[in-house]
Amino acid sequence: MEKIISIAGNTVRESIRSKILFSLLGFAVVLVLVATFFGAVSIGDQVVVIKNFGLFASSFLCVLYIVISGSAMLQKEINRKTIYNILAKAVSRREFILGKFLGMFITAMILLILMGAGLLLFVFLFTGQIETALLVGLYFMSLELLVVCSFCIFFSSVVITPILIALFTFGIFLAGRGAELLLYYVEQEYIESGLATVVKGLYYILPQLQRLNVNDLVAYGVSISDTQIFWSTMYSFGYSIALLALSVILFEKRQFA
Amino acid sequence: MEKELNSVEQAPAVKISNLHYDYPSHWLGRPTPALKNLNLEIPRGESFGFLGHNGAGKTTTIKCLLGLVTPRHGSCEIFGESSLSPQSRVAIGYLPEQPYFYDHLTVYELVEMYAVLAGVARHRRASAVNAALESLKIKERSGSRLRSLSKGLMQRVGMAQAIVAQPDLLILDEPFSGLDPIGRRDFKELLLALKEKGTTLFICSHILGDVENLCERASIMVAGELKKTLTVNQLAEGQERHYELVISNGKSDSSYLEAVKREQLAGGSFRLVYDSEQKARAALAGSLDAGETVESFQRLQVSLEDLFIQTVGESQGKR
Repeated sequence: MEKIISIAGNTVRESIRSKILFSLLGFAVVLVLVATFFGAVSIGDQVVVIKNFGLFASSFLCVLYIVISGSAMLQKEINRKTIYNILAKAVSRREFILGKFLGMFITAMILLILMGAGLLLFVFLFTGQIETALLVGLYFMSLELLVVCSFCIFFSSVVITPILIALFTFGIFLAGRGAELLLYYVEQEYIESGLATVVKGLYYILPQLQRLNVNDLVAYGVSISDTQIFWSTMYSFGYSIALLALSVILFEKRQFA
Repeated sequence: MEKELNSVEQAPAVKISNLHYDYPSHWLGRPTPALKNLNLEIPRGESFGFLGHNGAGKTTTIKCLLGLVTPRHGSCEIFGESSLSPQSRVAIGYLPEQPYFYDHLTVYELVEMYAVLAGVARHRRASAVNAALESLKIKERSGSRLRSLSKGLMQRVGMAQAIVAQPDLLILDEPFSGLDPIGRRDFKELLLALKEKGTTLFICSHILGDVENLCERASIMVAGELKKTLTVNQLAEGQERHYELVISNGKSDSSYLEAVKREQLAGGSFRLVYDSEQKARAALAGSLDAGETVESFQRLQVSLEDLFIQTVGESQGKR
C-alpha cells in the first residue's frame, strides 16, 4: 500500500507543481464572476443561477483537468522512460496503475474541493447562510470524477496516443451524460428493432453519468434521498473497480520494448 | 519448502536460459529478432561486463531481466526467482542509460521515493537516502530540483537511487556516460567498494577500459547473439601476443620487413609491431646495431577493445 501511496503522492506533487491546476482555478473564478453577471441580468433567482453555473463550472473544469493532464500522465511516464525505473523496483504493474489512478483522483478532488469552497463562500456572500445542499452536489460530482478517472486510466493502459486517450475520455463523459437519451430513442421506437438491441446494450455498458449529475436539483433546493446517495455511491465504486481491474489486466500484458 | 529455500539461496545472481525475444511488428510485418538463444549465468558477487555495439541486444536483455518485456521463449532468473515476478526485483538496483527522472522533484525527494518503492523500511529510510547521497557526493545538492542539474549530476542521482536499498545485484546501463574524469573515478571507486561488499555487478558499457578494470568476466553480444565470454585472466594470457618497438632516427629498412604493422608517429618516430618474440628481438638487435635510437620495446596485451572490435568484425564478415 505504501508503494501505491508513494506513486500517487508523486503524481499529485507533479500536478501541483505544474501550472495547469492554478490555471484551471483562475478560470473557475472567472466563470463564477460571469455567472454573477448572468444572474443579475436573468429573470430568475440570481443565487440559483450562481449555484447552477458554479456547479457546472466545477464539474466541467475537473473533467477538463482529467482530460488534459490525466490523459498524458501515463504516456509521459512511458515516453520519458521513468516507468522503467519504477517497474525495475519491486513494484507490480497493478500497484503502478492504482498509484497513478489514486494520484489523478486526489488531484481532481483537490481542485473540486477548492472550487467547491469558493462557491460556498460566494453563495454565502449573497445569502448569508452556508448552503449545505451544495455539499451533496459536490459529493455526486466526486463520484462522477471517480468514474471518469477510471476511464482515463483504462484508455491509458491500452491506447498509445495521449490525444486519443483525451478524446476517448471526453467522449465517454459526454456519452455517459447523454446515455439516457439512447434508452429514450429505443423506447420511443425511433430506432429499428435490430439496432435497438445494440443501442440498448450500449446503454447498459456506458456509465450512467447523468444519474450522478444532480446540479439542477441542488441549485433549486430539491432534496436528494439517502437511497439515491447510497446506490449512486455503490454504482460509481463498482463501475470504477471493474474498470481498474480491466486496466490492470491489460497493462500487465503491455510490452515496454 | 526448506529445499526450495536452499535452492533459491544457492541460485546464481542471474541465470538466462535459451532466451529469445522479437521486437513486435507493426500491422502485418514480421517481428524482428532481438535476442537469439541467449544463455548466461552470473554467480553471486561477480562483476560482469556486458558488451556489444549499438543495437546488439544489451538493453533488451536488461529489459527481460527487469520484466519490462516478456520473452518469446526461454527464461530469466534473478537469485532463483523468475524475472516476471516483481519479487525478483527486491534485490536489484538499476541505473538506466541516460536516466531521466521526475524533474519536478528535488534530489532528496526522488531518492526517497525510490527508497519507498524499493521497500526500505520507514525507520531507516532517511539514513539510507543520506548515505546514498553522501556516497555519490551530492548531499549538498539534495534540495536542488532535478531540472537544474547537469548530465553528470543526473548520472550521480541515478546511481544514488540505484544503490539506496543496498541491492545484491546492480544492473548498470552505460554507467559512465556523461561523467567527467572525476565522476568516472568516483564511480569506479564506488563500484569497487560495492564489489568488495559482495554486490554482483552487471555492467553494460561502451567504455571498454572501465569494464576491463572493473569486471572479472565479460561477454560480447553481436546482433542478439552471445559471441564470446571470457575472463580477465583469459584476456591476459590466452590471447595472441604482439611486441611493439618504437625507434627514432631510423636508418635501416631491414627491421621493418618482418613487422605486421608499421606506422610513423607524430614526432617522426616509427612504431613497429611484431607477432612473435623472436622477430621482435631480431628487429631490436638490428636497430641497435644500425645505431637507431630505441625509444621503447614492450609486449602488447590484447585489450578488451581489440577483442571487441575483432569479434564484431568477424561476425559482420560472416553475415
